[in-house]
Amino acid sequence: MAQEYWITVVDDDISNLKIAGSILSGHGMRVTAMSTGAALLEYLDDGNEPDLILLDVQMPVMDGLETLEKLRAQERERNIRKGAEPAGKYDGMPVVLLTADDNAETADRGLALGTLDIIKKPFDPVSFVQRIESIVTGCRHMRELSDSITKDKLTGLMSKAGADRLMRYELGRCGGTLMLLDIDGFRMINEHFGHDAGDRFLTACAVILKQNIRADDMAARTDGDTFVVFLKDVLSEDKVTGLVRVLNSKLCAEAYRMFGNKKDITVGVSCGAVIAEKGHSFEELLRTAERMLISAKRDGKHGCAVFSRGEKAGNARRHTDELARICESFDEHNTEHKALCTGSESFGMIYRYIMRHIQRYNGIVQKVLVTAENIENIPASELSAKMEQLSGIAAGMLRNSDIIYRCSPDQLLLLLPMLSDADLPGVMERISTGWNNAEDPGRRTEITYVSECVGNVLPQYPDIEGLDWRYAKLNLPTERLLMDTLKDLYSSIPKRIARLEGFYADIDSAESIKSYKTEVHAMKSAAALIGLMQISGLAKMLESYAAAGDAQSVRTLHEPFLKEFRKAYDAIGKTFGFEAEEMKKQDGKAMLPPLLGVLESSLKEMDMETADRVITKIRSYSYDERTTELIDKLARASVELDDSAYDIIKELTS
Amino acid sequence: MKKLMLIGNPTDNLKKLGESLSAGYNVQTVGFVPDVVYDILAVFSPDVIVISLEGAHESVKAVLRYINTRYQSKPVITLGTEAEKNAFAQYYKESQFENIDRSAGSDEICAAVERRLAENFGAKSTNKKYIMVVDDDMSFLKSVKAMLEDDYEVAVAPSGMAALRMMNTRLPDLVLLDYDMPHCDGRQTLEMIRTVTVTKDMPVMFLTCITDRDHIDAILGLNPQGYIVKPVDPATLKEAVEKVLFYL
Repeated sequence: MAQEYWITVVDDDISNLKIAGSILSGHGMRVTAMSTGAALLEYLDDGNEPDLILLDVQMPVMDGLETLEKLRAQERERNIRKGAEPAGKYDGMPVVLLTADDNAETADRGLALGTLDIIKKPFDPVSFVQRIESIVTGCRHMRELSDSITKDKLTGLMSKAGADRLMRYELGRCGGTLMLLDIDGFRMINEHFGHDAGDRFLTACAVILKQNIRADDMAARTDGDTFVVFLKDVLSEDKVTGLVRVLNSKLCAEAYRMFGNKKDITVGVSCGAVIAEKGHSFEELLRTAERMLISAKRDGKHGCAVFSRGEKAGNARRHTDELARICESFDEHNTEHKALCTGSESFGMIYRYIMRHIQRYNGIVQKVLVTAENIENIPASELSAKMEQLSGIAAGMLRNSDIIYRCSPDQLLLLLPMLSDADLPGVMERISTGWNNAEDPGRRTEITYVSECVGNVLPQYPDIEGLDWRYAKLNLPTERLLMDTLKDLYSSIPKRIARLEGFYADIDSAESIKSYKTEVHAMKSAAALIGLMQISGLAKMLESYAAAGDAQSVRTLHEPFLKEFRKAYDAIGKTFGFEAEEMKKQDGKAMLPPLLGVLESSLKEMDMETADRVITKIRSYSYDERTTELIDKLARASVELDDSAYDIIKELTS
Repeated sequence: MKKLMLIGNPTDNLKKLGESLSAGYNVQTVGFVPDVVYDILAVFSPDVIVISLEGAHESVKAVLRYINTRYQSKPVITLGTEAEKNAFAQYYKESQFENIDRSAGSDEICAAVERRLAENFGAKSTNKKYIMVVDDDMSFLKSVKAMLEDDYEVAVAPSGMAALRMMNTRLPDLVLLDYDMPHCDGRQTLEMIRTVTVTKDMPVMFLTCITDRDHIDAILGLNPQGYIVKPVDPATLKEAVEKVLFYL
């Protein structure tokens, strides 16, 4: 037992040192000897903590008492750090004075400086050792008791009492930020993994906490999963929220490292903080911090609420922080570049979300059911391991936007968004190959799959510059409608351009610019309908210029607009081969009368759709110039359900 | 009014029959010129087809085959003798075709037409709400109609004036109105709707790509039941329409 004692002896007399050293080490104690007070101070300042110092009073340069005074001053600062009573005279390093004279004054001064004993030289070796032993034992006892109050045994941080002491001292000297931190999700860890794991996690928390604050900031564990941190001289909220964010991400990563991702544990910290000024009382600050913590917790997990007496923090900023915080708790940490494997509950949510998403945004998703075959002879536990392995292989082969769910003992359900039918076999082939390679050749387990592609399958239309198929698809939900409209638009563009050019030639007349506006409006709608958004935008500008009678602006934009429109016309024609159809227009003379008959009756019935079909049909044939002109007129009149339409029909039939 | 297409050689009999049917149907009479028949079939989209087999020749066969393959759901009534019918016996095996003796009077033919219309549309005839869509872009009208016609009866009007005229024959339960139309824009249209007594409380929803503040303010001042911005997807449109119609 004596072996653990560590005694430092300071004496200017080498022979004295030798005597003391030999006596003490003869009793198995560890002895460090030095010859000056300055050397001792330096030695202690390096962080050495002997159990006892034997200090000779009579020394040249700096005598024992002077050394002791300096030592106490130096200690005061250091002891504060350790959470000891700053002013307590017995809290310092245990010192025993060695003296040759019998000076009462020396004894008084020494005792006032917290000397534990004064031993007279020369000394009797036996009683000397006994005295030393009893002093050191007592001191150790005292320290243990003191530590148990000021230190937290589990984490090595300060205890509440220690924090209380230190804070009373610190607040007398400086301001700073007091943070009260509470571990979210700690109860879950305790419940899922046991209290040992909980304790280990708390220790890890303490380490992380220590690593992320400065050396002279204070950290204490005050209760279960509650920590108090004091950031000296820090008066800004940003620092606090920043620290909380850092702690959150580190704790999350740590929890992931310790417990894996098996359980949906969302650990992190909630923080209530208060910005303190010099002279505030610790109890009051703690109460305020507690209030803030409660409000932070109320706003959701992993939050931070800071109470500052000064200016009110802007709401927008607070909400931005909130957004970051809320997302933080959902964000994936340690994101892996492979598919997401989920349990049934979260799979259900994801599944429903994906289905909504694809319905709304014209996406597709492949649902694939993978089944392990030839498994009759495999015991359940082995099968489970096999399936685990299979899902691991599949996860590695799939994209990280894919989802895997083990829906039955021998089946996996895969959700593969945005994967075309054409690509699916390749993907499944890869998984299958990967599986066969990993499989034990002795016991082959084949995998088979069935798939279903759901969602708004957008046919693979060729790219046409400036044409957004998604818009087209939105406006024209069925393929037939889309193709018909494209065809309509295609066949009408030349006529529209010709008409527009006609109005443009005479753009300065009020009548023409009005007609120009009407025509360009129709072109705008048509372009927007099939997703020619830029062209539609140009048309919109032209329309507003024309509506305002601004001929000058129309002039600047007219040519670029038509150029774009013609370009789109050519592209559509080339891509879909409309041109060929356009060429073989038949003479429509024979067809005209019956078609006009249908038109007349549909106008009477106000069946606009039929009327429109008839007009389109009529226009698909070729006529002489005069008839074409009349037909154009007829088309406009019928759109307006104008009675003049009947007159034109009569004229055309005769 | 149901649409009836009458196909046959232009005899006096056919003319007479056409005239008598015109009392109850929107009748289009077409001769046996295949191309014309096909065109009219496509644009007219009749509810029922009546074919006179009188003086039938080769082209009848082509027309029947065309109808039988392209328009299988349209009921067809042929008027002919037993011998005439037997020349095309293969078509009568299916229920689409039905022959009535040519000697039958027009009343008898009307009854047959009614019966065929009833069997074909009986299942579908529900009390669907009637929606009128007004927009100057015919393609857009077709698109909206396609989105809604499963659940509603949809009429389309290519202009505000056309819409107002159409309202004279039947009042829609809801009007979907484009704002930006030449001649008579959505605002004028709505103003007119609101001034006429019978239509003043009619629900009107704007369906338009206009998104600037001034226009929206002007529109909202007219108290429309809704405002949907183009382009619109089927689900959103249906939902919005449903909501308005629900409170009727």
